[in-house]
Amino acid sequence: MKQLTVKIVTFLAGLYFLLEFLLPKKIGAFEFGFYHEQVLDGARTVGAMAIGLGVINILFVHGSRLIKRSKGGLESFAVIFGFLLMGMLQGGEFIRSESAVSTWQGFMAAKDYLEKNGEQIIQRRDAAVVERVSRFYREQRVNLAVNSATPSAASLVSASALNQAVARELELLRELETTLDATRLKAAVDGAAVAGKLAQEYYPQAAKEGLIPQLSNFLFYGFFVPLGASMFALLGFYIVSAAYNSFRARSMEAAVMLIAAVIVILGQIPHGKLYIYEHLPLVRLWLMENLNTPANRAIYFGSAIAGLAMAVRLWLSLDKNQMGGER
Amino acid sequence: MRLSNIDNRIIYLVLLAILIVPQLYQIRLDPVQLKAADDAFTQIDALKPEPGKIVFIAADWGPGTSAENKPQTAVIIEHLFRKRVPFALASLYPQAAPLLKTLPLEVIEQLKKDGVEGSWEYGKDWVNLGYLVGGGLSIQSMSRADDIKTVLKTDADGTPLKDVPVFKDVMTVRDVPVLVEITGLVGVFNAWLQFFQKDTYRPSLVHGCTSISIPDAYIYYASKQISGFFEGVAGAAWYDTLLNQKYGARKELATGINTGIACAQIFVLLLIALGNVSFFYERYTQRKGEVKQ
Repeated sequence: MKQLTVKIVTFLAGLYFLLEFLLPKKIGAFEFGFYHEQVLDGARTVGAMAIGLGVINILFVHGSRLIKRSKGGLESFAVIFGFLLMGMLQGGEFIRSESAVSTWQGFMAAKDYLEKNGEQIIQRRDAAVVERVSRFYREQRVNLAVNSATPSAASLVSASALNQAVARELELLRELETTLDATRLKAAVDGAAVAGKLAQEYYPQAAKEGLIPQLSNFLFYGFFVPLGASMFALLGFYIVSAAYNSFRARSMEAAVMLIAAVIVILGQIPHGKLYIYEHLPLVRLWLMENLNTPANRAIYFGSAIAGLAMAVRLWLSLDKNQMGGER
Repeated sequence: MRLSNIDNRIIYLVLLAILIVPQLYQIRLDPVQLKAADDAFTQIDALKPEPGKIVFIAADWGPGTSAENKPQTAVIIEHLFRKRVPFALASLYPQAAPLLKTLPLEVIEQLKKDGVEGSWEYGKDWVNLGYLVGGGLSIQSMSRADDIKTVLKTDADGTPLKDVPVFKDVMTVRDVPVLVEITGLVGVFNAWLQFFQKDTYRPSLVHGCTSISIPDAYIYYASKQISGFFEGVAGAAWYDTLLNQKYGARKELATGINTGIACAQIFVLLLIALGNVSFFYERYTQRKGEVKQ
């Protein structure tokens, strides 16, 4: 039953995407891809689940190696430690940035609320609406006082500017509450827009300050970037060593390849006065366009056809491995 | 020590010295003219700032390939900044996300050092869309949308795109005259090429790849599916020269790295020659010995 369910879901999913590609956008009033965006969201969600599986896999493989104290335990510790550390820091950064976004969006919402309820404020003499907005700004003022108690030099200016804008807005709202007229309403809406703009600048900037973002940046730019570059650089050293040890004209085919490689390298490097032949870059271009391209296309076509065959096998659940069968 | 048997450690040390010396002494070699980079330059240079239009830069690279992909992205950004053509940065690669934030700021700093007048402001001159979750699915969603903002919703900092001046009038893929796709990853470029189009419209595609992917990129260049591309850092170095020719003296962003790599490539050629000379010499002496016996 389990296998049959997987087979049916796989087939239907494949059929949907096939028809979505083949059918015209509209057949009369019927639109096949009407819910396509939702289907894509579903596919993304399934993909996101794979991250969870990956995490479980890492913890299971390296955790068991660590607990059993088997060979490579130290490396496994490094993997788990690095994973947890970066996970916590990035998680912390995510929470901070989400909170920053929701705070400045709150400022924008307060402005929109004031604007939208303008008619109600003036015509129905409804001061309660103004009071609700004032309450929001009072809360933000308290938060700002706490947050900007130890501001860095970078955020000091916009923090104080935002503080002033919030204070000014509270003043405008107080005036509006006293006299409910269109002029004061406009002034309050304009003041809210100014505060909103400053909040939009200040909060994302403030979220980047503090220990968590700094540590996260240090680990990314100080460790991850150079380590990643080093891994790729090792490949360069390996290629140079391989060129010396293995790139020999042992046969006619190897000799042809060697000559082509030398021409391509010479045609690309800036050797200035060492130019052997000034049209070498053009010879290289001819080689790339007229010999490399057809050969590569042939390889691509071959692999595309193989990929298509593989896709059909997966779609129709003909592949035993996919169904958990024996290899 | 025989010629055919040089210790790998010696090769590594010499290579290290060859890579370091040009950087240390600021040695610069003029890059070779590359047609594909010429075409990329022409494509970008023909752009004019138009309201509601934006260049899309897919910077799908991370720390591993930054030596080649970063200068490529930087010269394009510089060119767009100088021409005042707005652009959006995005990536399908999560590790690129922090670099998308810092690179435009680094280029602006360099432009100021070069004495270029004016200022560039986030939101007005460029927008960072950050990491796009879902790979090819994200590209499909953007391409199908009648308003891209409904798919992407916010920039990398969470600002709604309708509030970002540079993006507020951008509606569909038709508003993207040029897509610049720079990557060192397998399969990413193909996803953009395949899906970033609407009905019969496909933006001109400028591509940047690592040296190892140049043969693959030529397939699409020959068929004119890409209008120009960077052949590794050598392409970026030639673009550097073209920027110099157009805008006068400026700090080159790729030529230094290209010089180091070029020196290493000359070393590779020498090693290949050395290896083959020793190979043929050994075969000759071996045959001579066989004849004597």
